[in-house]
Amino acid sequence: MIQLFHVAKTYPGADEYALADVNLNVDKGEFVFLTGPSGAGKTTLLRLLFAAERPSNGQILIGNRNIARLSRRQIPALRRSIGVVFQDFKLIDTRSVFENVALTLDVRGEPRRATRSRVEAVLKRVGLLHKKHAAPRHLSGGEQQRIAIARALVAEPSIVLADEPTGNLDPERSLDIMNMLNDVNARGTTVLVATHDPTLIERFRKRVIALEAGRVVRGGG
Amino acid sequence: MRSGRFVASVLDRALRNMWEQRRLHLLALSVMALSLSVVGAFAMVASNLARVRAALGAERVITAFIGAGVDAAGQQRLRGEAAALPGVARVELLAVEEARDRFREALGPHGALLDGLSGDVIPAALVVVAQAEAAPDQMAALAKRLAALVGVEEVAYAAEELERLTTLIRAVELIALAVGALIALVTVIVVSNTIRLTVLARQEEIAIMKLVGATDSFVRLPFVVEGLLGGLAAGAIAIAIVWSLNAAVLGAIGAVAAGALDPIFAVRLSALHASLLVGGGGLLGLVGGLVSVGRFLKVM
Ligand SMILES: Nc1ncnc2c1ncn2[C@@H]1O[C@H](COP(=O)(O)OP(=O)(O)OP(=O)(O)O)[C@@H](O)[C@H]1O
Ligand SMILES: [Mg+2]
Repeated sequence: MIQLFHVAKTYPGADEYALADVNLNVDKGEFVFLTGPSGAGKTTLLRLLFAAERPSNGQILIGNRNIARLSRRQIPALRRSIGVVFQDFKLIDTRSVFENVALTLDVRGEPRRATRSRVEAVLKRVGLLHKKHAAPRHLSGGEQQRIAIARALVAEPSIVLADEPTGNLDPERSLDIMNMLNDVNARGTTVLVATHDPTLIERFRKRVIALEAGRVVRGGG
Repeated sequence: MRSGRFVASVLDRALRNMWEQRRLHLLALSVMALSLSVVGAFAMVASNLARVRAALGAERVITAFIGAGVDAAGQQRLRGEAAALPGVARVELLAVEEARDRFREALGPHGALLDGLSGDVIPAALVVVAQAEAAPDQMAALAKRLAALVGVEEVAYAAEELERLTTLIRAVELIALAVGALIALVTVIVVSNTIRLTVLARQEEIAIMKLVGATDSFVRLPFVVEGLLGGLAAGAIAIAIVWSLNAAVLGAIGAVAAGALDPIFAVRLSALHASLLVGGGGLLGLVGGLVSVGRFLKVM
């Protein structure tokens, strides 16, 4: 489902690799942890997958699409097949919780009525239905994180990329969220979770890909 | 993407943007409306002048005033000579009394002013009607011939004023063109910068929309619609401004000059000019909207 061949990424102006010669293979329906110390390149790797960054080198295949060669016009379709939980949430402050989650369906042109019921269902799942009219900035970090997760899941994408999805949550909430991602995975969705939380990795006993200084040191497959 | 839902979403976001950025939009709207009304006012004056020109151009009457020393027989002789000139359809001789009566009629309530005047103050005159197809230069030639007749003291005809008027119309049109071009430029700059500011306020939102899979047109169209709607509204407001300006001028003239200057202001904004104002406003807004978003789409 996701394949990287000799992928390197150097940010413009940076003199060190963020990623260097990364090879990995994630099968359809797999659940994979991406781990490594801060600055190892986890976020960079995820950003390459939804074409927020272009690789400096190498090839990236998702399904049968070559991401490195995608034209600007093809990027929206790729992004609609992927649900992303951003490390910094990326919620729109001037929009309500409901509207933030609905955005994923709005950009697809989903009918309003279907959007409403789907958004409410997913908000219920993350336990925030009662806050649907609130502005994100009035919510706690953990609540904002759950909105970000709801937005990533609402369109039922075939791939979910989650960047530190439990970073701001207490242990109980973390477990909830991980169980949600596990459920989604059980229904066939490929899930990639970047985290440096060892207890999470320990508890869920999934495949682990470890990055260090931009290189895969373990579990590339 | 379902197109109905797409259109609804675009309109929705455009109206919402406009409401949330209403101060900025109000500013742009005022600038655009004022600019367009200046152009509209010029257009209105030009079309009124053109109408007067057309009316004068169609005037085929030349009045030849006969000297006081010419007796009745001389007057009849002059009439015959005038009728024989090429291009003349018909000649009428106004005797002294007749001429006075007509003048009195023309003066209306002030006609009593003439009562104390002796007969020779108002000369007799030949009213020469040219043939229907007479062009302005043929009218001028005919006037010259009439003036050359012995006993004719002076000739007067509308085409004389026509020439001066034509120059005036050209000048007005030229100024309107120059001012219009300048204003169009300024307006595009103001509008595109206004929309750029509203885009700037939404930079983060635009980036996030693109990250969750929005197409460029999905992001861009509301801003274009914003520009278009603003431009159309500005055009409509400009029409209202020009219209009421015209009404005010007409009112003021009516009080002072009893209709003498009516012809110049009688035509309000023509339908063509009005639709050009609205269309022009819409176009300016559209262009402003298009040029201002592009850069921000390249965020990712
Ligand atoms: N936009 C950028 N421009 C330049 N350098 C960047 C940029 N983003 C990341 N980097 C650098 O690339 C390297 C990898 O960063 P990345 O964010 O991928 O790490 P990470 O594993 O996600 O870290 P963390 O666990 O702290 O989130 C770091 O050295 C970082 O400083
Ligand atoms: Mg990171």
